[in-house]
Amino acid sequence: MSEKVGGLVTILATLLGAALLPAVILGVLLTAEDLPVFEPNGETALVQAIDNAFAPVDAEIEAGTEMVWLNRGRNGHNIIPEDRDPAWTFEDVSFVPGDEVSYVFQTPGTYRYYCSIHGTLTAGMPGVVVVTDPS
Amino acid sequence: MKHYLRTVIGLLVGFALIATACGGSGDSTATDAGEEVSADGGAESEDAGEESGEESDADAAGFATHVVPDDFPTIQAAVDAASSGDLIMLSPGTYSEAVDVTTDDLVIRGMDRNTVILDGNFELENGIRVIGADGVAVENMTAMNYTKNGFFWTSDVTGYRASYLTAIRNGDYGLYAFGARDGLIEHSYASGSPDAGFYIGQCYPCNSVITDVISEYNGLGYSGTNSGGDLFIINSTWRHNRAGIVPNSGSYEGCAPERETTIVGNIVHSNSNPETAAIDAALLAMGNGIALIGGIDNLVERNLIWDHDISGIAVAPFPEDNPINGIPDEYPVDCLENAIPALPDDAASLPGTLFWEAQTNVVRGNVITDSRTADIIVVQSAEHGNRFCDNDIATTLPTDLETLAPCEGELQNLGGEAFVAFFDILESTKPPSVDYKSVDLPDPGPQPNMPDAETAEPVPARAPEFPDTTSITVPDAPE
Ligand SMILES: [Cu+2]
Repeated sequence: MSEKVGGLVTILATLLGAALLPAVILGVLLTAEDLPVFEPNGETALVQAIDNAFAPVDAEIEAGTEMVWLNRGRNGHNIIPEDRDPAWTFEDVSFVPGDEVSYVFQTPGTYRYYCSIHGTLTAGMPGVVVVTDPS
Repeated sequence: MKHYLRTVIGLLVGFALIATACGGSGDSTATDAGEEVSADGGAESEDAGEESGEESDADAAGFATHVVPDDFPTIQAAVDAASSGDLIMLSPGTYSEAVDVTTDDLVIRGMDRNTVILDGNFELENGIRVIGADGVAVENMTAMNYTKNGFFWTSDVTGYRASYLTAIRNGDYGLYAFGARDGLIEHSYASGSPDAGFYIGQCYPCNSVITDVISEYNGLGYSGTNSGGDLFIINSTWRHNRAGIVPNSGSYEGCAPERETTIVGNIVHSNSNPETAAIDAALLAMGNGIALIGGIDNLVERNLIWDHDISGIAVAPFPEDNPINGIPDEYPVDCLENAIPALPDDAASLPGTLFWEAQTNVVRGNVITDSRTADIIVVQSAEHGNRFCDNDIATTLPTDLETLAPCEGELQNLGGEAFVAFFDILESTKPPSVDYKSVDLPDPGPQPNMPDAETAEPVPARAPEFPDTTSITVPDAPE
């Protein structure tokens, strides 16, 4: 690509970006406001943290269900949400053998997480909770 | 585990009493494990650099050398910039880093084992963590004060090597290989971990060797859950831990059961230390030199063992409370990836306590003295096929063990006395764990450096040569 063409592309991209930005922000706000929230339904589901894996790795629950992670292994584990600014988290993300942590997922979506001691989002000790729309 | 113990003892004793001789069915396959013909598997890193006295040149040598902090300010930056086969050299200094390695075949080396120090400051989790990368070798450095592990290989690793490493005061394990095979751990030292100084777990066959290491003042000297298959623990020293060498089976990790670990030529002494950090498993196993807990086809041969509150060698079941799965009908023949078996649909169908029986192990030619309960304790019935011969011992539980359960010939009723004694011991109160952050540890002094650390070419980790254990004799006692 020549410098001239490259410059044009940059300018176009900048203009386009500037034009799209408010729409993107608006979209996020609208989406956040539109996400359905379901009341706790009194149900619980279990993921066991063993050494060194979540079992099952993929859990599926209906929105409103309380997901419980129980440490049944010999090592301590933690649960780190995928996002830097997560919509869900715990007060204490670490739990030792015999302990449990829990969270009520009220909004449908796919929630990825991992244990930072024994892995990353993609290797070692990952997990995912798929929260479905009960309606 | 107290609530079920009395019932269990009753059942076991009853079972032991009715069990009759069953010669033939208990032949061990562990005896085959030591017959691989090979040279010492621990010499790669010592020999590698003898031809080359010059600084590596990427074009000529086929690898690049990245020096920290000269070329990169941090170990992680150097690791991230490196390509497979490269050498990362760490200058003397203290590094407060938790390093993740995801590139195959890197060699990460300290220029001086005693002055290249990774320090977690009780805030960082793991010193160097190799995650899903094959062939990575870590050499000649120290990791201390991590909340979890000093050096850690995990996530379906094939090929790893730990050479001339020191791990002190780390919150889980010193050197930890989980879901990794084709490993060599050599010339290394670990102290002050509440779990194990050295651990190899969840692999079959593991194809791995631990040789010439010292493990002391840990909860367990060695632990290995659900590992085995050409797994050799040889020529090393295990002392002053709560318990010494403790492989076990359990449903809380994949690849169950533990089997075919070969333990030969080790010095194992004074593993009754009440003043270490210790997880519950270490408290349970406390006072035993070598304890085969629910494992199968292990070979324990020509070790020198002394000074234990309970036994030099114990062969016992693992009663696992609240198991997540049952004992598999068929043992996996190749287990590394996807190691966790499917959980039962009906969790309520699982027993409250799952008994992993120690079976068809062979204990031969060990020299054991000064065991306060007995030199060898067997808490299994004759039908489990464990065999004992040629040990230089004074006491066993049951008595006359080598006559009742010889290496060759019929197995006879072992009686019930060991069950009663052993479960009484398990139920007894143990001195509680000491906080790993503040526990008193010995100063190991300067540890031997890797030869030619500054000039040796990098050699990525490959499957180690298996030792010829038939050539290993009972070690001499240290002076
Ligand atoms: Cu974990």
